[in-house]
Amino acid sequence: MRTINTIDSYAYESRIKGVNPGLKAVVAMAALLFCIGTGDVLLSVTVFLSMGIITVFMGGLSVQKYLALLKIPVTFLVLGTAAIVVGIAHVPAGRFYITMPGFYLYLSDEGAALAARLILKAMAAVSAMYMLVLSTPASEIINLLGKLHVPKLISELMNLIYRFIFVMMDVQIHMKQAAESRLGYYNFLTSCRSFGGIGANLFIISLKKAGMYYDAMTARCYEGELLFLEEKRPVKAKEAAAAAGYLAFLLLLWLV
Amino acid sequence: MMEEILLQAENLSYSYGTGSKALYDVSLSVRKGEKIAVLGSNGAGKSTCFLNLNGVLIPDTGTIRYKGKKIGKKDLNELRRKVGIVFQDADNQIIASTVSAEVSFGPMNLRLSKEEVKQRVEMALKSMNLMMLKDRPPHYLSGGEKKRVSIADIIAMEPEVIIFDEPTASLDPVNVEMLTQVLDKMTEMGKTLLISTHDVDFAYKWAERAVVFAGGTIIADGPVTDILTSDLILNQGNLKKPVLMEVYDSLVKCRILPEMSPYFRDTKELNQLLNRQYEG
Repeated sequence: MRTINTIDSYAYESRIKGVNPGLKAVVAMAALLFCIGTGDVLLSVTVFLSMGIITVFMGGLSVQKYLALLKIPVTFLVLGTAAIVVGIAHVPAGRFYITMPGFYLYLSDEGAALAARLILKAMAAVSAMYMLVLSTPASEIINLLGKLHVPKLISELMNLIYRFIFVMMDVQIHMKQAAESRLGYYNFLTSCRSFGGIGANLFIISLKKAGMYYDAMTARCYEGELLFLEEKRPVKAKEAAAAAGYLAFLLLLWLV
Repeated sequence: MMEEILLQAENLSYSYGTGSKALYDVSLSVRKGEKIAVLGSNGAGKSTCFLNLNGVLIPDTGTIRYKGKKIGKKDLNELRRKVGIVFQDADNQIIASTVSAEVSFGPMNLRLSKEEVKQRVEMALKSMNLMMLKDRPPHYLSGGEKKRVSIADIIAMEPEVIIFDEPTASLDPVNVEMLTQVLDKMTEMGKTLLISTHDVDFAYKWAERAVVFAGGTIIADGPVTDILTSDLILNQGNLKKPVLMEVYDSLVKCRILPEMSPYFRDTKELNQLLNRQYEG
């Protein structure tokens, strides 16, 4: 069995996969809104740490994997906040500045504080979303969207796209291996050519596969509506109480 | 007494788009409980014929009957319900993102009650030994497991006739063995089976009747031993003689077995035959 290290595979291995996806979504969304809405530093730190603890200790994801995943948004945040931290002025200002022809680039205390708050807020929000996606398989999240009355067209498309990502990835891996074995990635030029060829082929194969899938679906009485039986995961009283307690704690923290 | 005729095709012809005819003048009747091997080289029309028999493709001319009733446009879903196809490549059949959702797709389309669907999914998963994997997404399954899922898909719809399109093509020997057991189980359950294959040895061992396609039409239809002993049919159908039949011929030629010995379908039958010959 081939397992790719993806968010998807982590979700299937999570120990809190069995918890009702609606409950997890409510907790994650509420925590996220709390952080963004209040902008409270203490709240952000609390959410960031508690969500990390839930994902790692309750979900059973290894710390290394979790940190590796957190690194992705950090990169974007550092690049994004750089613009906020650095100010432009015509006169020397701030704690630290660089002289440029015609103006000054400066770094102020307020700017740094703002950036720190922003990073904390964003990381807290990311960790809340990670808690959800690292413990809930994509199909359950899509089902949840369906229950929230997201148009059927969109949720069905999401379902099919999700499945096809893996089907096409498989095709691409095989084509790439075949190209590699014929020295298709020998140097930059051949790599470009192989890449282009694989891309073009993937497109044709997608069309062909779409036809075959349609036949297979028709053979099973498909009539234009994608219907699956959903696994019921009832909310357990203990879990609901824990979620309510957690949210109450956040609220209290903000009020105090 | 002959069993009743379930599925019947009369003078089917079909062409894809503007191209040449993929099927012409195909007539076939399938009786309840039969085990039919559908043989023929690539592009001989087997898969196209199957898609017609299940109502996915609509024949240009000719009719399909189920239990004597002519299938019109309105009866297509009825036909698809009674005749299931397990496609050659499981990856071209599996659409859902978990095994149990996948198996539920067919029964859900039949608009059965949730309870009934649940029951059928469970039954199908159990019969294919898939209960352990029911929450797994299909992309984390092995080839053999995917094949089992694609068979469970069809079992859950409870069809009377099940068509397998080259089921042995991408399976390793262990999984072929598994498949053979599944097929035997289905025969016990009273299902009628049609299997297309290139593997004449498998066909000879498993089937009772063989249908040979060549160039878009049926060139031979009869008991599997008759078909596979005819050099003419084997030639026309681009087929090879099963190894066990070659062995039979050699044994008879070397006078180890007498001229009119019965054919043996596996090594066990051969051993019995030899034992009887030399000990009795």
